[in-house]
Amino acid sequence: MSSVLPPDHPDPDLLADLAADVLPTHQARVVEAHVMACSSCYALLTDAAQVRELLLRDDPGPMPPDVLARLESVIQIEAAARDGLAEHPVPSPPTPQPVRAPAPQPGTDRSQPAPARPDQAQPNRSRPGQAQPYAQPAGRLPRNPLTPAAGTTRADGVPHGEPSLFTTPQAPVQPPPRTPTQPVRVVTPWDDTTTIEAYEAARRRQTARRPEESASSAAAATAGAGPAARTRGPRLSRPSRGPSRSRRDLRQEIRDVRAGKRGTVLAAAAGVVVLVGLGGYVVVGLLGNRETGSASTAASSVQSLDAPRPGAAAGGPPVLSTGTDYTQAALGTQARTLVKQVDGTGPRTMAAKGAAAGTSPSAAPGTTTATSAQADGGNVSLQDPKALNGCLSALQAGGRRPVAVDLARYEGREAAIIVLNGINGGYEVWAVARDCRPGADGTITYLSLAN
Amino acid sequence: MTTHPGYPPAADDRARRDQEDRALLRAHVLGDQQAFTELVRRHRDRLWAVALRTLGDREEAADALQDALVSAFRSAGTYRGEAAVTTWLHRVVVNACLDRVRRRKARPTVPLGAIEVPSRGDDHGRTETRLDVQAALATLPEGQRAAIVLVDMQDMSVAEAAIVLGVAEGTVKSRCSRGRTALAQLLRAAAGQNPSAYGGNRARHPHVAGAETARVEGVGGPATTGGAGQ
Repeated sequence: MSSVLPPDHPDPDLLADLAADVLPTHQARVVEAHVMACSSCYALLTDAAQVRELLLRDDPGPMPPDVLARLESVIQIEAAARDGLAEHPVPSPPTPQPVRAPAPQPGTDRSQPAPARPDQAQPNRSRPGQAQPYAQPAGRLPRNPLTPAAGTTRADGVPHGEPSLFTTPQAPVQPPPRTPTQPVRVVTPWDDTTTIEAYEAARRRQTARRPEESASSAAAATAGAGPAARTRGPRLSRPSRGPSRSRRDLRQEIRDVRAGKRGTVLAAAAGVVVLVGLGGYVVVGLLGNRETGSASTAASSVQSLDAPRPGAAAGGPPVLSTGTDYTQAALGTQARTLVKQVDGTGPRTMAAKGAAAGTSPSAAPGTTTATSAQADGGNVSLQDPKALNGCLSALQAGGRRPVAVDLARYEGREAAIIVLNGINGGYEVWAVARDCRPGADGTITYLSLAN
Repeated sequence: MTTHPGYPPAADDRARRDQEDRALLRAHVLGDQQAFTELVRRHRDRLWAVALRTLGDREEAADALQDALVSAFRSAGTYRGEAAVTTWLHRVVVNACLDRVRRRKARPTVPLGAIEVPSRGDDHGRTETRLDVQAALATLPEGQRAAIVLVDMQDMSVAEAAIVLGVAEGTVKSRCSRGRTALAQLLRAAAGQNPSAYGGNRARHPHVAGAETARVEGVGGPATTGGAGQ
């Protein structure tokens, strides 16, 4: 938006802002004076006001049945996976909190009664050590899940953690979970009863600092789609929850515990670590990445400049400098090779494998060394976990932990290859500029790899 | 769904439905296998409308919804209830859509989303409106598009849209207004070629600013501009 009026007519955006009543008073007066005297600008605003009518008439129709079927099947797969994760003992948080649940609405119209469906999940969601408020046959939806939910104290005893979707790194206000059993924090005005308005006011205070245009991307990056945008600090003192918390939460907490960051970590959180250690399948896989990644880091002299911290691998992801020249054609294969390397399944053989997989010859064997990484000199920035996190934020993947980062080349140019676990399994592979940072992610290409 | 997806239920009905949503979400967090599916079914049409309108492409909308719902499924335990469940769901979906828009930019070789072609059963007028609107929407910057979709098409309040988009209310107002102004210019230009497409004030002021005219050539007819504006 320009604050200077062009000689003839104000910029349409300025006119729009006048109509939206968001201009500063002095500017509004100037623009308004013009509009009152200019029939064409006046007409434009009149038309704009009518656009809404037109837009409201637009009807995209209901969700097509095939889309619904697809979404439901994906959700079923998720549910099955979650049950797999939940089959291990979990410390059950005590639940002395009085029921605060909204009264169930026995007669409520369930506009879409769930049909019985074949059980695609585990035969039984047995969770030893935990009460099962829904002891129904596996895979069956109780006729009305509202009723049991409201009738059990567990429904309220399990705190809903703070809303990751509403958390930003700079969030000055941390909504504390309401759990009397977790003596973690002082209760702030934010709790389940907080109104949207109060939330919104706080939200405004946060967002007011942001430049207008970067606001959407920043918000998307920090608020993110669920776990994809996890922030580190604010999540630490979330008390333990049931076994169904997201795996990314678990990952984050494990990471934090290992890094010694969770000074106030509760025994229950440690229990989560045990749970993971025992073998939630996805988490173990991820954790395995990290563990073996660190092993291979040592074994293959892959440089990780995360060293200042003891047990460096407990902090940042493996940042390699393999010297590979990634190519568009072979990016998928090369990324998988990279992942294998940090997995420890193929240490030292990266270059050879890469060559076999179509890597450019520039990936000379032996470049996977500490000296290579150090030779990058000024390009160490992404080896700094903070810089890496900044880059991930720019990619709207803030808070996610890369499976691997390779300060290498892409199509002959210096680039950083970042491999993330895909939201739906598989991997996301980004090739970005080495100086990838907030506001300038320098994305060269993106590839989504299936499992 | 027989009612227009843009019309939200009355306030008390909304509150009641939100309580049900919250119960379902709790049930889901506690391990209920079907609660999340039920939740999705309750909101499917509105979420679909948001995704389709934001992305302008059926397949992309379905992909974005899948990403979003998986994400919501996994992070449901972190929902604390400051906002309505539907707000939360919308936020996840909008973010997934904008994420796709952004990735689409990073992959210019991938064909841009084509304009959604309505099913043949639509009456002619509605089809034309759809094409017009979708093509015009596609030309807006995504921030404006998302705000317009939520506030002007889904009839969401500015306050709720601000939460969904993670921006201040003033920003939502500004984006909506700018988007409307840009659309007014576009649709006016389109109407110049197909007067039935737009019933605005074109008679008085046929062309105020025709900068975008070229982008909507043929919008009023069967041919469209494809994914212009990305």
